[in-house]
Amino acid sequence: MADKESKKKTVVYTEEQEKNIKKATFLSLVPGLGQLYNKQVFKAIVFFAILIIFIIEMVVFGAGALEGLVTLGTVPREDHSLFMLIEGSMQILILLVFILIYAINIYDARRVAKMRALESKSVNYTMKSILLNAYNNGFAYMLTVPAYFVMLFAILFPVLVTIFISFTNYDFYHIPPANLVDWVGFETFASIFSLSTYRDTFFDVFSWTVIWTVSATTLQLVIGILTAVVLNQPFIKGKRIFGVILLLPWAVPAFITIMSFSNMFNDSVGAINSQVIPFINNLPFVDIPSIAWKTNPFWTKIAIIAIQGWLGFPYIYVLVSGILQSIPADWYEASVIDGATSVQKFRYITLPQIFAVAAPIFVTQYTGNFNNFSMIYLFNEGGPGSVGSGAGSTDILISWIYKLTTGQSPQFNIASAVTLIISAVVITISMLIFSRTRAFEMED
Amino acid sequence: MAQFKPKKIRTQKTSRRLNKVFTYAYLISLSIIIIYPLLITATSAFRAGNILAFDLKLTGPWTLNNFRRLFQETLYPQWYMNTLKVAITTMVIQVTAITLAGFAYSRYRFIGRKQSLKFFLIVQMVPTTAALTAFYVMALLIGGLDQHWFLIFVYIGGGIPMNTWLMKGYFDTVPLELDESARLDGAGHFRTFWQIILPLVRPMIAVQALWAFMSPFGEYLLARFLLRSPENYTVANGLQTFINNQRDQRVALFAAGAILIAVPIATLFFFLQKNFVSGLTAGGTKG
Amino acid sequence: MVSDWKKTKLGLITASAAFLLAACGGSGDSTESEAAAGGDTADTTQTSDAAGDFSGQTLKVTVGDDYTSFVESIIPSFEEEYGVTIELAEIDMFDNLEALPLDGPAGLGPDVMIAPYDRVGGLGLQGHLLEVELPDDGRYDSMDELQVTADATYFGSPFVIEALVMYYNKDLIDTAPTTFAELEALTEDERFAFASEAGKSTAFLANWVDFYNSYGLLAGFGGYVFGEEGTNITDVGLNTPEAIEAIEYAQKWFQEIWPQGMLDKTTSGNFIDDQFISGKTAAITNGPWGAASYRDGGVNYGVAPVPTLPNGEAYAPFAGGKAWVISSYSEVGELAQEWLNYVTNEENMMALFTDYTNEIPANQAARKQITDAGDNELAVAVIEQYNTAVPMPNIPEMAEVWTGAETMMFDAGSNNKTAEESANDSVEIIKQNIEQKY
Repeated sequence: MADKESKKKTVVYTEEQEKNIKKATFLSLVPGLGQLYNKQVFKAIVFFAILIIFIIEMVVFGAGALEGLVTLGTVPREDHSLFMLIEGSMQILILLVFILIYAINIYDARRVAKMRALESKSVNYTMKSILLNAYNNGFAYMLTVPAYFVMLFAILFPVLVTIFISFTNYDFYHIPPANLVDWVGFETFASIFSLSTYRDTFFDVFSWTVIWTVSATTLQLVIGILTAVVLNQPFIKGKRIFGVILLLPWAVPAFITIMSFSNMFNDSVGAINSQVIPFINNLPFVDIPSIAWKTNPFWTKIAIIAIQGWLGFPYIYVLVSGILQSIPADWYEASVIDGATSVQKFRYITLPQIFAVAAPIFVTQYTGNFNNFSMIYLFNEGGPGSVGSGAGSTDILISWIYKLTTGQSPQFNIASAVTLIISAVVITISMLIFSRTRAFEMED
Repeated sequence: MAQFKPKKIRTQKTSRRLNKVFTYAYLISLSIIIIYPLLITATSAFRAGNILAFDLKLTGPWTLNNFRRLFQETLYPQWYMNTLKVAITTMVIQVTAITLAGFAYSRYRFIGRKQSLKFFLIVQMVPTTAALTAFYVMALLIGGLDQHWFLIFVYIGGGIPMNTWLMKGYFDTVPLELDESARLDGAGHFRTFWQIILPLVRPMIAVQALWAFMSPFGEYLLARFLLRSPENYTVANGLQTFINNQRDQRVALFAAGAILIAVPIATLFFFLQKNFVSGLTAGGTKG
Repeated sequence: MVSDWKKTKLGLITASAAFLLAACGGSGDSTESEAAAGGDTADTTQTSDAAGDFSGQTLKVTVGDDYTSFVESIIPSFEEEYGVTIELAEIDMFDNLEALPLDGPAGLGPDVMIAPYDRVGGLGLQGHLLEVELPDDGRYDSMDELQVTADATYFGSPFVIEALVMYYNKDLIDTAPTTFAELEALTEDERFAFASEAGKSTAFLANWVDFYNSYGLLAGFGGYVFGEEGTNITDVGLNTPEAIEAIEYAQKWFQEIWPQGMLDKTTSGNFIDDQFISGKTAAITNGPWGAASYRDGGVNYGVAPVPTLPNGEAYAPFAGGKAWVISSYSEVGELAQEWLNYVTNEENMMALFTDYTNEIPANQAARKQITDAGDNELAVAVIEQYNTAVPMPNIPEMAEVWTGAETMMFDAGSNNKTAEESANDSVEIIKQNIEQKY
């Protein structure tokens, strides 16, 4: 269903027509007038109503909110700087939406004027025909616009606020409304980099964060894909029971299982040392001693990665199961006739198909673990021991930040700034991977 | 499914037998690895005293006291109803939204198609923990504080980008010829979508429904920020109140509550499984 | 191509948003919070001796579920006396305090609530709490006053007190140990040998990787957090020779006596409870909050003050507790003050102790009654222990000490460093963090 616009031939308008088109465009600087000139009364009313609503909104809320965003308040106790900052951010988004509609209105007036110049009959003048035309040609917009509106406020809005906060001095000395928060430019970012003592710690924490992200996520992907493929074989009895069991790690909220694991890995009385290892030792020639899961950093890291594999694989397994269902059976049948082994079938049919659909999800799994705060914090609070500057030996960046910025002396500005720095790293790497794997490329 | 019958060669037979042995060994050991820790957690809920179990003890004394207390002394039943309300609403709206959007992305070409979704996918990588207050103030302004509808709104918004992308990928596997032949038969946009394409993507919709339903059961950060009164809590932030207080942790109640969360989700999965099984080729037939 | 449909949709949404915003009457101005508070403002009265001043006002009280029934029981007579209405909400104490900086300005927060002593100073200095007047009727001594003081200002009325005490299992030992030497002797007892780790004993357990628990040891030996009664942040006393001696003593327990799991800070508390309930341990240290689960677990326990340390000094734990505080966003501050005085009076505090939570009142008269009666072993022990306890520093810098001191105990206990090294390193980090952050 290619757009009609693209098939347009270049048309030459008469001088009279040119003037009309210009006039319609110019008039539409006031939303609705251009449409009125084009004799599309219904459209005109809609655009004009939007303008009125916007003006009312600006008078009632918008102007004040934007001013508040600039000043962040002047009188302590009366002005709540944080609320002002957030209201200002909201207003910026509302402004964006209006500007978009405004642009559409100008574009629409110009387009209809052109259409009228060419073939006046094809233009819809009545409300009914306008709506019908919208359904026929704007179906895709009807399906996507509501979703975008929700995303704008649920996703973009908090990020905008995070960005703003990082340029203020919003910390425990400036807690509104008793105190005002002020814009301080890049000071927050500067102070992060000037904390020289933090540099070694930062390097330690960062390298472990990378190791953690790669190994934990890869583990859960491997288990997830393997399980889905194994369970997808037709001969298995009790498929539904297995299916439910495999989902359980995901069905129980993560925060409780992590807390349980924290106990199970206790060096002295935890199940792993007191039950599992003795059980394995019953096998001939195996003799594993007790392991210091929670008091030796190396073993703690092993434990965390294994637990994340346990927690994270069901999601992948469900996703991949869904994809496997969609691979046509005759592909496999054809490959069998060609003499393909099951390994080859997996390598050349199954895997590419899984990646075709789920590659982006896999990438987001990596980014998710990069910021997997609960796993690290609930299992051993980033311990055991420390690598200096308040970071535990198993802390990842996000949990280290948490430690640096919470408690009774929070520093929201530092937290926001570091969030942005981390995000910049994650996004850059993800974008590189996306463009390499063409994960988010869309066909035209 | 008709199995393709290969020539009977002995090696194939043995390899198939080996495959069977490996398959069952793998599934059974994985099941044990999953059930064992969960059993340990579950037993905490049936013990007197107030500690999470360290290991599996299958000898008594057992007690149902924690469950009794959960239902008599806490607002847990109320939290449970709230969570069901939020989860079901989120599921219905989110699945509808992403199915429609996914269809549009797969079948139509429109302005901003290539960049817009990618933009939100990338923006979503920024953790918003530092700016949760933003939602608080927004809710305060539009009267959504302590209201479930606002929480649902934020959940849905967060769930759209990735899932729309997945849905689009799934729609892409449905051959375009189907749409075209439907068009030739005179079906409009909506009929093509509703009668021809939708039945074919049922497995993905089942998966999506499950995800959307599950997330409110485990999400506690946003819920804690937006729901201000205990009678409006969801189970996740309700249970958090049992363990937030370092000095007075009611872990046994916490474990009991968590078990009751796992049950409906596992059940739901059990019933949705048949949707996973009806693959694409069987998608046209009803049921 | 853009449809009209889309425009209508957006229009509707913008319209409704504008309408809602208009309905809110903007925000950040005081009209909103006044409307939300739902009472008339009480800033015109100078003194409030006459009860009639308050008639018609509403006081919003928020407490955790552990105090609901207690507060419900004392509401009627207060309402009657002052002619006011009290709205009671049940929200977890910590959740409630975390929400105060947001809920307060939004006009949603309570007027009065409960806060632990260690949070009172910080919240007060950040401007979330009103200054409180403490009644001059002898209900508090100088230590109680210190607990709610920050910057020479009172920010709360002391409500209940807590301190670490020793619980012991009466089925395993006849009398409570009174010195650490006796505890060490107990570790030779075969009954308490730890099965899976040879040569280790669980006769006595204390959660010393957690600083709240180990502070009593350090302070008993002569260590301290901040000099000059917890106000001089440049003087951190965790690496004084006395403190290092205390750390060396703890090191001995960790290395020679206790199982490896005691070093695991996330589960050691749980481990101690588990061992005590299953009868493998003779004595432990814990706060009064632990009693309920030992009772449920069927332990025949006794309570006594923590034994005296090897140097002959008393164990000096942090003095903890909770206070009633008034939100600075309250419109009925004077009524709230009346409520504080009422809740913490002798009669109500005795009711709390005997009929409700069994927590020990801060009110001195009530405390004396309990000690004189002497029939509640736990209460008597806590009160006695509280007298040797040290108030927690009430300044935000304290936040840095918690983590730093934890690392110190772990490094020493696991023999990663000597006691001296770990103490010096930790103090270094604490000082550095304070310098860079504050």
